[in-house]
Amino acid sequence: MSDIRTIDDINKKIRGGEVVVATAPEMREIVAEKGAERAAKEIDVVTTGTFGMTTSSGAFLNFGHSDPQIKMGGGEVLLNDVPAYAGLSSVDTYIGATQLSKVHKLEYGGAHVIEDLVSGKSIDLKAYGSATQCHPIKEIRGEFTIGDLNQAIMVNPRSFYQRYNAATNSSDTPICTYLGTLLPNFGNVSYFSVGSISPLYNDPTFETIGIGTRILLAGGIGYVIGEGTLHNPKAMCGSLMVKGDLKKMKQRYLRGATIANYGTALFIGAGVPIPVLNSTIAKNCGVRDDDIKVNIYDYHIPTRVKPLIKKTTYKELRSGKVVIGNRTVKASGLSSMKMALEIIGKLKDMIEEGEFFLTKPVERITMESMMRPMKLVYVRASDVMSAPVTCSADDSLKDAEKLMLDKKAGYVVVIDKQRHVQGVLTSWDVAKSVVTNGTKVKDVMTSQNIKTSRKDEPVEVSIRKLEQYRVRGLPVVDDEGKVLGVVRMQDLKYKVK
Amino acid sequence: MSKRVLVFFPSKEYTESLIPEIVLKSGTIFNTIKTEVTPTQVKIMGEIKADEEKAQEFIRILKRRGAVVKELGLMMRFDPDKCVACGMCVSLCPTNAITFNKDFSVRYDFDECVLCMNCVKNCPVKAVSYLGD
Repeated sequence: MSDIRTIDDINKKIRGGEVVVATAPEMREIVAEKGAERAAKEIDVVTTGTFGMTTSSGAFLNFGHSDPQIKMGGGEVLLNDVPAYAGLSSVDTYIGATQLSKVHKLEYGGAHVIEDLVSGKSIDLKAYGSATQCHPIKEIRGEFTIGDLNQAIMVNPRSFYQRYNAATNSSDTPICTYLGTLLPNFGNVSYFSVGSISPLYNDPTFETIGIGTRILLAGGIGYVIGEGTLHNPKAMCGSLMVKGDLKKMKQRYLRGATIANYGTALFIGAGVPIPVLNSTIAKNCGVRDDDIKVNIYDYHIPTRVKPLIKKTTYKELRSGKVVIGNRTVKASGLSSMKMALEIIGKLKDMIEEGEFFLTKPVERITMESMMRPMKLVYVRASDVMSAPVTCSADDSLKDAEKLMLDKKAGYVVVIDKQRHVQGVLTSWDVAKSVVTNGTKVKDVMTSQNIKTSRKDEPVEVSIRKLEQYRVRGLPVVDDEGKVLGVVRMQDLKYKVK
Repeated sequence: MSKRVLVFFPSKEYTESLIPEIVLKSGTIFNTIKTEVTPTQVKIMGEIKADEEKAQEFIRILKRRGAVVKELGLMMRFDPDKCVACGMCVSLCPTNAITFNKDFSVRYDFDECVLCMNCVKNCPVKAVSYLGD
């Protein structure tokens, strides 16, 4: 595909005030109506944008030297009681969005420190270091605003995540996730991204967005500095690493957020211009919400690979209602369409008025995916389980009680002939039988909602289940659901150590 | 037209026929959404199905019978300037009190609210708050 214009041509037109800019929603209509060829001829630049929650965000701050000097590096730095990274030089630090306040916990975190900095509020600094010949003091306390800092540079290791899972909850209790609270029994669906107006959907193969691309980051000028962490462009999950000058940012486009019972994150708004150099780029900018596929997963299951509930598109998600089974469930995203559209419009105005020029990337973003899971050394449920004491549902209660006494077991797994779990019989159930007069195991056993552990499950997950559901033990089952053993709290306490 | 209210009666003033009696007398429909009975008070959340004038008349009668009446719209506060319109609250709302406007800003209608507090507990930027009863 031969290019019909260059970035230099576009900048010349911006200077001359004759550049033709379309917002992503406008371009979508133009491409649909006139086709990519004509759209490419008519439009020079398409503005795209997003406003969403980011956890992989933070800022480098330089305080300038104190007199007498302190060596914060290797010590401890607290900004409004939020710990900041102290592994840099004597007066540099990095404040990350998800770090929580030592005092206010979830209510205030690094994201809020960054918002307070941008809004010009005074920040309390406490720093502790070790005394050396050059740095005689061990402890300082100070107060500063963003104007007092030599530099405040936002660097986000992962931004503009292209596509992310949508989440729902099949269990019978509400759960708190990084996608917010998920109501029980598929009570709601939560998702990220503003869909087809988001930058990386309009340039999925990184034809124009590259290292050095100038962007609008939280109201100020920013730059793409590389691919983001967990960059996975082959699965349409690309991401970018970006930087920007915090001093030029505006609070309207940068807000500290608390996800209930989960943690803090930063809402960041950003705009990315896409130069329409050829008709392929124009065609990509014609992307629609129904072209973008999203999977809804069950977040009740705390494994990395979660059960798929439904394959859907942004169109259905964005309609606010998703059909799951025979139910209509409310859906909402954690990205703001309102703010994203505002940013896209603002970027268009800036380009048209000659306040924003485009840059030619110095290098392309890789199309290689970097999505390997973490390598862990962990103990599996099957490593710590003890041999199960089992009986069958049709056994008489007397026999089962005798078995419990003989084996000194307070927790018996009731199984069928195929060794599948039918229920559990605990000493509590036996105690109940005195009142309910059951004679068979099946009369008194607990058979509803039996929680089990998979044999490969990390033992931490089993511990969480034991605590969460307040049960005495969990039958460990293999892939076919056959009982292999039992994990009990008492097994774990010493075996894990 | 409807108006959501919380009605507090001291237990000794309250009889089960009180509300139906007032409904019959005033000719205004009142839907009870939730009732909470404690030894000292009866708390009724309900919806007055009437225009503003008739609703105020209904509230006056309730007050005359010894009730404290609070309008839900005045007990919750939504600050549109703080809101970033992320929409987290929209799918958590069990009723239609929270919806998106055409321009994707978030709209609160407290006359649809049941005080479940999902929005208050979950708003990432604390744009909605409960002022207490």
